[in-house]
Amino acid sequence: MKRLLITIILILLGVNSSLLADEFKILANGKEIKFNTPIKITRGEVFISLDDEKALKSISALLGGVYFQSPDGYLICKDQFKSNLSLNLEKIGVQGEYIPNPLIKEDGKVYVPLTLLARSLKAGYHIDKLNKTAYLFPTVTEVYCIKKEKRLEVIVQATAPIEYNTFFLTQPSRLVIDIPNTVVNLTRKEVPKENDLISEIEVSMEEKDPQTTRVILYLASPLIARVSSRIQLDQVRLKLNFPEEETADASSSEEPPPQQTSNFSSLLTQQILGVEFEEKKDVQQISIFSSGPVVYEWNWLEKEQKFYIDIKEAVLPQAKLTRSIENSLIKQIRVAQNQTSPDKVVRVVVELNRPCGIEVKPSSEISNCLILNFYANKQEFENITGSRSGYVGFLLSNKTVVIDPGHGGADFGAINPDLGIAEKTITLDIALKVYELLVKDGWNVILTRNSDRDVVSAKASDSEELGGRVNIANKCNADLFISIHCNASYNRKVSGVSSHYFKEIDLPLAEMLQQSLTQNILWKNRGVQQNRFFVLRYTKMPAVLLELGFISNNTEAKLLKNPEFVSKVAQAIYEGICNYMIKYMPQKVARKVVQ
Amino acid sequence: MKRLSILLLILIFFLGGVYWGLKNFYHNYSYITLWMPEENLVFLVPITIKLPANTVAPQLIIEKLISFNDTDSLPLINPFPSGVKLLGCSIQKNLIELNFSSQFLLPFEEGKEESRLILSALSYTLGEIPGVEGFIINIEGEKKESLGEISLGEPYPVMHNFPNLYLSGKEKEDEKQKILLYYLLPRSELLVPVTLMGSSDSLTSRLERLKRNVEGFLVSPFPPATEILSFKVSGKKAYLNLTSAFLNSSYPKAQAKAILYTLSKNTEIKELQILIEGKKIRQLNKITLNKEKELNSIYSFKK
Repeated sequence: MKRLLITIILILLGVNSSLLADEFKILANGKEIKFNTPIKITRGEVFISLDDEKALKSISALLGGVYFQSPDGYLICKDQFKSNLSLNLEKIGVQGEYIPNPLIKEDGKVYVPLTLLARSLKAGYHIDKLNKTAYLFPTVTEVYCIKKEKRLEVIVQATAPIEYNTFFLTQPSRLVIDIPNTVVNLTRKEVPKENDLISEIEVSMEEKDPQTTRVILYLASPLIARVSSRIQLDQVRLKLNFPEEETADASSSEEPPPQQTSNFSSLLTQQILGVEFEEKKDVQQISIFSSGPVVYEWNWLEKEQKFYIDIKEAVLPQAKLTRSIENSLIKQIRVAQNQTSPDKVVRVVVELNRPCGIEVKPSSEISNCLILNFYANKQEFENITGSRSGYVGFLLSNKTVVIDPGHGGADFGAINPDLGIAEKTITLDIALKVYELLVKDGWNVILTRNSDRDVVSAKASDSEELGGRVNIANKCNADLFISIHCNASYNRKVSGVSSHYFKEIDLPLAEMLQQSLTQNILWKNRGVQQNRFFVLRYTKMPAVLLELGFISNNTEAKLLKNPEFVSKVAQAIYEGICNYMIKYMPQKVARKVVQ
Repeated sequence: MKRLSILLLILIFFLGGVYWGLKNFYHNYSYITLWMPEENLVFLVPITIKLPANTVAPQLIIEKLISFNDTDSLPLINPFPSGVKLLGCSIQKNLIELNFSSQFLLPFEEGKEESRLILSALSYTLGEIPGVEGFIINIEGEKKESLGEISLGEPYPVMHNFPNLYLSGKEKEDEKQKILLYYLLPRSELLVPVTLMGSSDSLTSRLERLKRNVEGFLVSPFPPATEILSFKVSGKKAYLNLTSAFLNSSYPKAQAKAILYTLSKNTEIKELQILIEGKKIRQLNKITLNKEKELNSIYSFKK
């Protein structure tokens, strides 16, 4: 009986062992390799058929090498085509040295061990028997610094293309570079002796999934780091500035109070650990790292072409940091302790060469990191702001929009007796929603009325009442005026949405609003019409009167009673205003916040 | 000699009489155009009516407009409230001052779309009278600063050119040119001039644009699937060779007229020869513009 059991176990193990090769996976630099000829597993080692040229080419390419067949045999080259592995079935050469033949021959095919391939490609090798997977990793081989006139460049060299993340850590201040799917085999690690930026470099393996190499730069002081564009895919290159003699003052007091506040509620003092600048394909990104959640406010100074963000209850261990960026969009980044009492404020100032789209958002990947994205390309920015997934807003200072909910108080406007609704209620509902969206976005928004009341008085004539609304807009020098109405007709089948303008300067705004409304709420497009509405005739700024559906049409009136639909209409108006600003007021920097 | 003189005198008087008679005959009637809103209250449709020549005056034109009662037989809406009366009409320089009864105010007070169309109908219709530049509205003799939401602080201008400007809000950057095109009112033979924005006003551009309907409000004179096989102009005549899908409609003659009107704007074209796949069709032979005033002549539609 015992013998039988042992036999069964041995048979099962044998089946398992034969299944192992079929189910085994090989991942090279994170990518799974597909095989035309099944791999072999012998004595716990993985073998690949030399006939499977496609698989061998893939492995080599993913690990930065080239595989090909030549009259001399099979070759794997790396490091500028210097031969690393040559196989002529008689002699095996690895990096210029002959080694005992590790090849196996079975069924007329020759198999090469995966370890030999890894060695010739200078790759890390790891076999996970439990998960039946073999891994080939690029190897981090060098971490060194080059000292230049005004900066220190930190270079992390790997044997194959790598991905990486950078972030700051505190106590002590550290700039971390995480390189997933790699192993470490350092041949070089150097820190310049005399530098004020980095006191030490530590390189270690992080046992996480995926396996990660972590390079930690211990900072002598906070800094602005610039991650260079990827000239070489197998390299991370960080440019760190030495502290400069400050010429420009980031704490300039001539700047007006900021306009926008984040939703963070933390009041603990946080440390600004560093600022990182990176040029990506379509966007230039500044990341501000802090030791914990921060409250921030931002502003845009149109004349000076300056953007700044104030980080509240934050300290910068060093007095000031300045980084000149030599590109067409960003001139300079400055970080300074703007205030120490009563509030501690760190101000990051970005001087721009020209207007651009700006996106301000907390990082979704790294905690306590604020991202500022600068888009130079208007089309690219428009593509992003056109997205419905987020909400579109503007970075505006001193820009005022007047929203005029039509009718109110004694003036009911048009009514639908069947449904018991009045125009004055719907216009107010929509206006309040538009108000919310705009205020959230930093606009100075004025409502001609915020409740069910007359703007002038119940006894005022039509022209006095309308004149009151015009006066509000003209007196505050509003930048835009939008009057919200619903239409009505004796013919209850009549339906649709229209935007009305009177002055020529009104037309682009009317077109943008009509486009947004018809795209978002899919009602009949009654078009952009020129009409001499009182509020359009006498306002001095671009002004539009919107007729948002027919209250006399029961289908449209029911929708206008629905709060969700009201929100949809308000969103369409808001997006129309944003699109107008991007297209017709490009001198005003725009931003988008993804929620 | 005496006889000859008498004969000559008789002949002169006779010919003079004939001339006077003929002159009277031809001037007995005047054609006037009234502009009425279509059922969706977006566009105004020109309707040509014939009035005894000696009666034609701005007052009569406005009275005909406000009392227009052919809306049962035509897909049109008279936007004027019932019972409204024109109490007075006077001309001062280029302005017409109109005095309406108080019923005129109703659609303005109720915030109805018809109120906007009343002003447009007046503006378009009075624009047909040569020399008139604007109009003033009084109610029961009283000057108004505003009518509902509309400002009346200064005279309301009349429409001379490019009626029914339709801007969808989706116009492209290069579409800066106004193009006047003629469409058909759905389920009718009524032609509606519409001004759209385009990048070119060439004849081929007009035809291409005319192939698309206007937002479900108006119908293209080219029924769906109609292809233009060839188009050429020779002198005052245009030749249009179309696929047979052009005949898939109840009003091919009205469609042809709409195309001819579209082509004739600012050109010498007065005649259109439509060929269907290269062949002449009897009902579409020699479509001409006989008279400028025949557009949507009411007598063609009266039952």
